[in-house]
Amino acid sequence: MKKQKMLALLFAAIMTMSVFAGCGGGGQAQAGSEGGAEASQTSQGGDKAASGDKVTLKFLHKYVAEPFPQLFEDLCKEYTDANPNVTIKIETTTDDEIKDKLRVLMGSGDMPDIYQVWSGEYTKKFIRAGATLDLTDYLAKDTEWKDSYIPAALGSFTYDNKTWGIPTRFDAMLYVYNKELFTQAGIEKTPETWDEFIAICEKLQGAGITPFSFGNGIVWDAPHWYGALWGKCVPEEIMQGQDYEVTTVKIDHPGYIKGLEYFKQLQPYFTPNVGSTDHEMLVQNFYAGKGAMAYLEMLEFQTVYDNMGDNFGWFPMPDIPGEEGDQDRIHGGPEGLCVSGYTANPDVTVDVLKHLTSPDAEKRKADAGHTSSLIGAMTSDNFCAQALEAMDWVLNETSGMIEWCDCGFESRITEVLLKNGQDYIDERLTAEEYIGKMQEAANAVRAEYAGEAAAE
Amino acid sequence: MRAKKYTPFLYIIPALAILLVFVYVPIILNFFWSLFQWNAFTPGMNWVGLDYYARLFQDENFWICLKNNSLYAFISLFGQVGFGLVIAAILESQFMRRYSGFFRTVYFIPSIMSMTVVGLLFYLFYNPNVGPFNTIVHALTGMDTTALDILGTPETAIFGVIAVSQWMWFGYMAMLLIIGIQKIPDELNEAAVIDGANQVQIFWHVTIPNIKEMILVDTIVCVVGSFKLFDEVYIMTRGGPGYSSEVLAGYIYKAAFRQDEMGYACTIAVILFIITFILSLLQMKVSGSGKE
Repeated sequence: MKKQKMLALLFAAIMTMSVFAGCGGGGQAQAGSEGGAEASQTSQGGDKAASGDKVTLKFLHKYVAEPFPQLFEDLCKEYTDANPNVTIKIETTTDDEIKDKLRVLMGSGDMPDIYQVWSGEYTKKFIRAGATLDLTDYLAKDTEWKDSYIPAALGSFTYDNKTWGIPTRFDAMLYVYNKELFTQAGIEKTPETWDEFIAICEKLQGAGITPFSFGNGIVWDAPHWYGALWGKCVPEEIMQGQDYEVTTVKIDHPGYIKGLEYFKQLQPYFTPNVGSTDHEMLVQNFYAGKGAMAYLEMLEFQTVYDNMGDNFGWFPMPDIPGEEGDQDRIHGGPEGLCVSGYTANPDVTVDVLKHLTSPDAEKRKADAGHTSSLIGAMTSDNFCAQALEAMDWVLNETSGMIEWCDCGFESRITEVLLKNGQDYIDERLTAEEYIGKMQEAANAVRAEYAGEAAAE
Repeated sequence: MRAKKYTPFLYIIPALAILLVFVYVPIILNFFWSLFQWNAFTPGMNWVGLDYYARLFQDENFWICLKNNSLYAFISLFGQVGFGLVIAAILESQFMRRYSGFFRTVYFIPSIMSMTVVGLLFYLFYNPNVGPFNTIVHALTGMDTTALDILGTPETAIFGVIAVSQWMWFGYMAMLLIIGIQKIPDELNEAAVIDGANQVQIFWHVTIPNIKEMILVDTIVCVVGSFKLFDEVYIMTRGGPGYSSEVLAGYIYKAAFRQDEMGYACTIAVILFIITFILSLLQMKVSGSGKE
């Protein structure tokens, strides 16, 4: 009996302990929990792990399409071979899922040491929470590293004169068009103004060609269109200066409604069933000639070229004369990598980041198809002429960028923006109602953050 | 003797610990956290009391989700439990016994498939650009399907998702009911036959009363599962178009991980818990069973 009781106690203890064995792991201090806007760590020289000290870092990125997973593994292995005391654990997830994953990791106190972001409010919320390391001093000490980036790209991660991220993939929204279909419809010139744009759509339709391959199945395609149109209709200081800031956001400029109305003018020219056509499908439809034009990201140009060769051209969102937005700005922004504000070894982590974004690394990524933010990484050896021309135009002919609206607005506003787009397309919402819903969310956001600012 | 009295408890403790840590404590904490405004990015938690509950009942999206979950539950009672019962009765009937093994396997296979695979499969199946659904409907009914877009139309999206779930789970429900039917003593059926009962009468007066407990299990699983619905919707429609096919679990996810409103997500979760708890209690009371 005694033996039986001991056995029972032993098994009970083992099973109880196993319950807790899988728990925990997020033991790092939450810098943000100590309060204050200055919770983000600045550089702390001198805490680089002494050689021989084991350092384990986690790196999260979203480039799941080959050859990038292998490329990043190779880059990390090169670093760890040269620095045997450092271990890098790589995690990958998709473009859409990384947004949720980072929130889960943030909440569980298990932030990766290096992680992927988009510029704008998307990065700013991590900064406010102390989850991003200020890289300003590191860049100041290594001007060669700093100066290797396109200034506009690095500038997209610079807020209040501090730099919080390193730009990686550079991107902007541009129209691509099927040259054969344009020729078939007798169109010789790409549009420069809105009226010319509509005239081209009419001409294509008259020739029996659907003007646009479009789909909003993943709900962010349509916002890319009206984000760009808002850039044409809303003054930049209002859209980015006021409404992309959580303490001042209002979304009350009439240009927002106008932007939606311009989008509505294009709807008769779309391919059908947009609600169930996701982005990949709309691109395939474009390759198949089901639409003469598509509104794509510049980073997709090489893939378009691989499918269509020189049978495609590009042009930017046409100007809308008379509207208050900056007609020379382009909708887009770079992706980037940030260092966690909670990283245990900032110097080592930044060193790894430097390796992942070195000129050699960027060149290799560009060779694999990344539209790099590193000056000179994109050449005719690794990119089609269309991509190089577009990049050159974006850098030299535009006055700047309007950040992605789904990354520029605060997350609650973005959710309203994304979820109500299809209702607007299907005419269950008017433009006024759509913007009204965004304004409601904006008011709640502003009240919350302005209240926090006042309390501080 | 005293030692013997406590020994069984030692075997129960691990399971109890798991339930406490992963079920009961989170339920209580969830209610507590619903009284605060907080998210993954905020350093602290701000007390809001019952504000989120007041907001929830004025939130039109919450009512849409509740409607969709309720629709799913109602349709599943007939589509999964009801149809599963009919299939089970047919497969266990005299003339189908010989072939029942084959059909049981065929009907059960969808329930063991990955939800991700099934979701993607039907996402493409329904797609008006590439899927065969519209072609099949046109061939069978002659209807013009040019504008038919099951998952892309708010009025039909949730029904498209529900239909997939019925296809996936009716076989599983049928299997559970077959187990119950197989436990019915043969003498009861024989006696009914001798008394002149036909198959339908045997079904209503012998089969159903004797598998009441299993039907209760099926309905509880079905109804509670209806309110926990997430995967099918997330994969096939993401709750769209708009919020037309959104469900409570999906709304919790979006509130927590897209809108950065963990407190509000906890509020929805509390309501979801209350709904499923009440439904389970009601079902047991109404059926007058649950003792077995």
